[in-house]
Order: sequence, then C-alpha cells, then structure tokens
Amino acid sequence: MRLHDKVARYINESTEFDEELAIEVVEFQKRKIPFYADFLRVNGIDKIRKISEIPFFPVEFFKKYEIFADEPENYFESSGTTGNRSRVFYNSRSLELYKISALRSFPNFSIRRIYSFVPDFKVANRSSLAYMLKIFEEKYEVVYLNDSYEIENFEKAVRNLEKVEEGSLLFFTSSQLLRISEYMIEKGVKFGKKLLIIETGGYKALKRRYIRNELYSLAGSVFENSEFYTEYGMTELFSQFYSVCKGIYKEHPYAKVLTQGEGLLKVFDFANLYTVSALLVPDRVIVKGKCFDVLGRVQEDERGCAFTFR
Amino acid sequence: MREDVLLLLDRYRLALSDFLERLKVGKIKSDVQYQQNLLVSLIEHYILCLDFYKRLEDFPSGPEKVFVFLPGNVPVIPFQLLPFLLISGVKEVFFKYPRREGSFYASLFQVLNSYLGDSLKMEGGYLEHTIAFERAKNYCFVIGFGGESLQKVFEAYEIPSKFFGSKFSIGILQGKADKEVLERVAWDNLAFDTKGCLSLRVLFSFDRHMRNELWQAVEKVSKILPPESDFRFDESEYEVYKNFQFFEEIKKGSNYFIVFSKNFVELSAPRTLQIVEVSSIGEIEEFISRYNLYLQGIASDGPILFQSNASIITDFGKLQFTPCNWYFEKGVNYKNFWEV
Repeated sequence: MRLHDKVARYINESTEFDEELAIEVVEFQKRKIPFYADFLRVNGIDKIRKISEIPFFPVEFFKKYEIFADEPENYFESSGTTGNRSRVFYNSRSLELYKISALRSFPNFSIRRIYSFVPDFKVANRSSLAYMLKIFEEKYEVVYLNDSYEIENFEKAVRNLEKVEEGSLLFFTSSQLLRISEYMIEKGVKFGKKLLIIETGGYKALKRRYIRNELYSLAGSVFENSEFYTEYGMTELFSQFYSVCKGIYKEHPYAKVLTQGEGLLKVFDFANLYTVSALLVPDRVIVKGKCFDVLGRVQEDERGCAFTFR
Repeated sequence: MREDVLLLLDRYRLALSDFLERLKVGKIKSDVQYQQNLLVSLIEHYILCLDFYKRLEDFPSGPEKVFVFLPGNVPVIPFQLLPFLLISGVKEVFFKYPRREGSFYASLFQVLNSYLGDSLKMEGGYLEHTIAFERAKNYCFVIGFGGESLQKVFEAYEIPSKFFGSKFSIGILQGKADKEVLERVAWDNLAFDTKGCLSLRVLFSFDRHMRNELWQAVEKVSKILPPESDFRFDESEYEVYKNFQFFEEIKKGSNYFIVFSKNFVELSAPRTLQIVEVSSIGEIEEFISRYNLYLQGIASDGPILFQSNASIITDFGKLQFTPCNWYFEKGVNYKNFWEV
C-alpha cells in the first residue's frame, strides 16, 4: 500500500500511536525535503530508530522556507505581520489528509448546524482555519455570519446572532469572542439560547494577555447558557486539538504530543505527511496523560547580564 | 577615618564568611537553585579580594544613598559591588532584583546587615519597573545592569547614574587543545548556564580535531556545574534548532548543546557552546570589530595581541573570577567609578 493511503487509513482508524509508521513518515519527509534532510544530518541523525530520538523541527522554518514533499498547488498563510507569516504549501493529496484529520479531530458533538464568525474560505482563501470550516460543510450545515477576521459592525453581528438556532455550534476566534462579549456587556445585551461555543485560541492576538478562564467568564456573562470549548491549531499543523479533556486539550494517536511533563510542544502529526510531522512549537504546554494544557507562548524571561542577539 | 573603613572591611569579611558557611551547609534559602560549586568558589574569591581594598592608599568618596538595578540569574553583582560601596562611604543601598531571586538576596542582606549595622544599610526587593524607576529618583546615585530598555530609562535620569549594558564573552583557543584546557572552556561556558556577561559563549578554535574531546570535557563539567533550577532545556533546543542551517554539526548532551560552525552565528541559548573553527587571526579580528561594543571578556591559552573593548583578558577557566579592581567595564576603576 502507498504511504499516503496507509497514513490516510491510519488517521481515520488509529487508536494507538504507530511508531513504525511514524518512522516511515520521517524517512519519506527526509527523502523528499532536502532542507529537512539537512536538519537531521546536522543533528547527527542518520538512521531513525525511535521518534523520541529525533530532533523536532521548529515551526519557525515555515516562515522562511518552502517545506513541501510533493508538487505544491497553493498555500495557506498564517496570521501575523508581513514577513512573519508562515506559508504552508498544499496540494490535493495533502488536503485529503487535512480533511480526514479535521473531521476525525472534531469532537462528536450532537449538532446539526455550525454558525461561524470565522469567514468563509471563499473570502479568506489563505486561511487554513477557514478551510477547516469548509471541510465541515460536508458533514454539517455551516452558516457564515461574518466576512472577515475582525468584527467591523457589532450591531450587525449581534443581529446575526439572533438567527442562531438553539443547540447549534458557534465558531469564533478568541479575539472575536472577546470583542463581541465586551460590546454586548456595554450594550446590556444577553444571549440566552443554549449553544456550544468554540473559540480558536490565538490569545496573542488579543490586546492584553487573557487567561482562557478570564475570557470564558466574560463571555459567559453574555452567553449565559452556553458551553465553551477551545480549539488549538495552527497553520503549520493539519490536525487540531479540542478542549474535551475536562477543559484541556486531548491529543490523538495520529497527532501525538511527545512533550514530557512541562515544556515546549513537541507534536507528531501524521496529517503533516507532506510537510514535517515532528514539529517543535514555541508554546509551553503541560502534559497530563493523553491531555495537555497550553500555558502560553515562550516569554522573554528576566535574563542575566548576557547580551541577547535578536 | 581610614581606620574606620579598615574596620568596616573586617566586619564585612566576617559577614561574608558567615554567609559562605551557611551557603555551604544549605542554610541559605533560594528560589533559584544556583550552581553551588561556582558560587562557593566565587565568594571565597571575593573574600580574598578584600585584602586588595585594605591595601588601597586612598578611598574614593561616594554618594550617601545608592539604588542598584540587578540583572537576573547572575547573583554575584552585589558581592562585586559591596566592598567598593563600603570604601566609598555609602550609607544606604537598595538592590532591585528579579522576582524569583528574592529569597537568596533577602538571606544575604539579613546576614550582612547583622554585621554592618548602620554603617551600610542594605535593602532589596522586587519592584515593578515603573515603581523602581520612580523610587530610584529618591537616591543620590543609580547603578544599572541590563538591556536596551533599561538603558533608555537611565538616559532620561537627571540624577547621577552609571549603566552597564548587556555583554558576552568569548574564548580563543590558539594551540592544540588538551583535556584540561577543554574542561576549563566548559567551565567558562556552563558557569551561570551561559547567562552571565562573563560566561563564554563562543570559542574560536584553530584546532579542528577536538570535537569528541570537547564533548567529553563538557559532559564531565556539566555534572559539576548542573543547570540552575530555572533552566529550560527545550528553549535552548528551539534556539539551536532554528539556526541549524548555519551549523556544521549539533551535539546534544544531557543538558547542554555544542554547535560547530565555520562562521559566528548570533545565537543566544543558555548552556550552549558555539565553536567557530577558524584558520586565521584575521577572522577573529573581523568578529571583534563587529561585536566589540558587546564584548565583556576574552579567555585564551595564549597572548591576545589585538585591541578590544573586553574588560577582562584571562586564561580559560578564570572568566568568572574577576580581578579585585574590576568594575564591570573597561576603563572603570575605583577612582573614577563615581564620575559621570
């Protein structure tokens, strides 16, 4: 069986992390991506025996290099300032894995309809998050309530919310959820319908550092009868994680967190077959069994008197 | 007057010896677990340095009240500064220190105050930056150690001040490296987890056949100078890996990295030793001309013939053991320290 098919089947059916297949994936990426092969070579890795022995590849490189193991057709771009955005290339084969993973990663909520403040992929055609919503259209009815990542007209946004049916799922970026909650508090508007609300993290986009619970407490005072969940994902990772583990994220066998205890996120994502699967992300996480919490981006600590190159 | 200062230095010696004994037996509280071996050796060195002060013919005249901004993770600056404050007649000093280092400094000041009484009142605390900047205005003189943001504040101060910016140190291995020299290189590198301005960060080497010996040396010394308790290996890992394309080889140890390259790479990763393999002194001179402003110390196994801004030029293994008349920057001495 071709590696692509093996991985596709594995993402769809796996219950345990398959080390042997993971090694096959790394060998494939090493063969196909010279930059990744160099990374392994400089780190003294010749033959791969165990995933825990290989160095994890910093996501930073997606900002500077074309990391792709096949013929690219297009690319997703992360948010951020120009020159500081990751470009993740894709083609129909890699999108097939994205789709399988996105659908399997999504919790089994009993909902029929998704309302989204994340814009339609037709509008945000570089956004992998918008593409994920497009994937969900195959399984759910997805209604887009907003056409950008900002909410420009809050009055209209609140009017749109009134159309939302009870028992549905509502998608926001964390920044949108914060802004609309603040607006509704200011206007004294409350929303009593029972909903599931998923916000997509990205706390660094907020003006100040919000702790998730603080955001939920604020949003909960407006969306009084809603349940809140958070999604952890990024353009460079084709699999997503949801906070269905008593408020923290649940890993998957096909997107395994290999950080021990507390540390930077080391994740092995099989859905990244055509880029790099073993990724190192500068987010501090704490791992508890098959679940993990994200403590935040690495901050510049109070250093010694040593000069820091930037 | 001179007799008073000499007596004060004797009391300070007793205080420091008392603190050292408590440190050796684990009676000093500290949130950050520093490298005990290093700290003990350095305090012993600072005690010996008190003889230098006692031998001075004249003592400088300093301000009455001094405020000091301390950097994080390198807890030796008060030890380097205090004898000088004592001989300058300073009566009161406040050290603003990082949040996590409160317990250590509180223990230090408690011991020292119990010996020095009103001769020099030492206080310290963690303060938010803005509060610290305001509070410092109530002092006669402000001394600061830190980065560019702190430097800007200092430039705006109307009270007398002295600022020492962030720096780093290098090594130059001119001959063939033996085991002992490589262990000294490792000592200079791992001291304070490479976070000090006197920690050796880059070694320029003419010897291209010592990679394995160096690895063995660093491995050995990494056990004598283990990571401080707040060291995060994975953050060094991220820094090293994201620059991999500039390296010929990366060696990952149990709690350190050694990276080999042809050219210097701007890398700021704790417990990481960068080896730049050179073939001419011109390559090092070019580096010096570019980074001279940030150069604190140079360790070497031979004479250094070129000019630089480095405030210390010494043998390997001695970078942290500053000369007794060393005041953080080239050209600064006990006679001109208070001049602004």
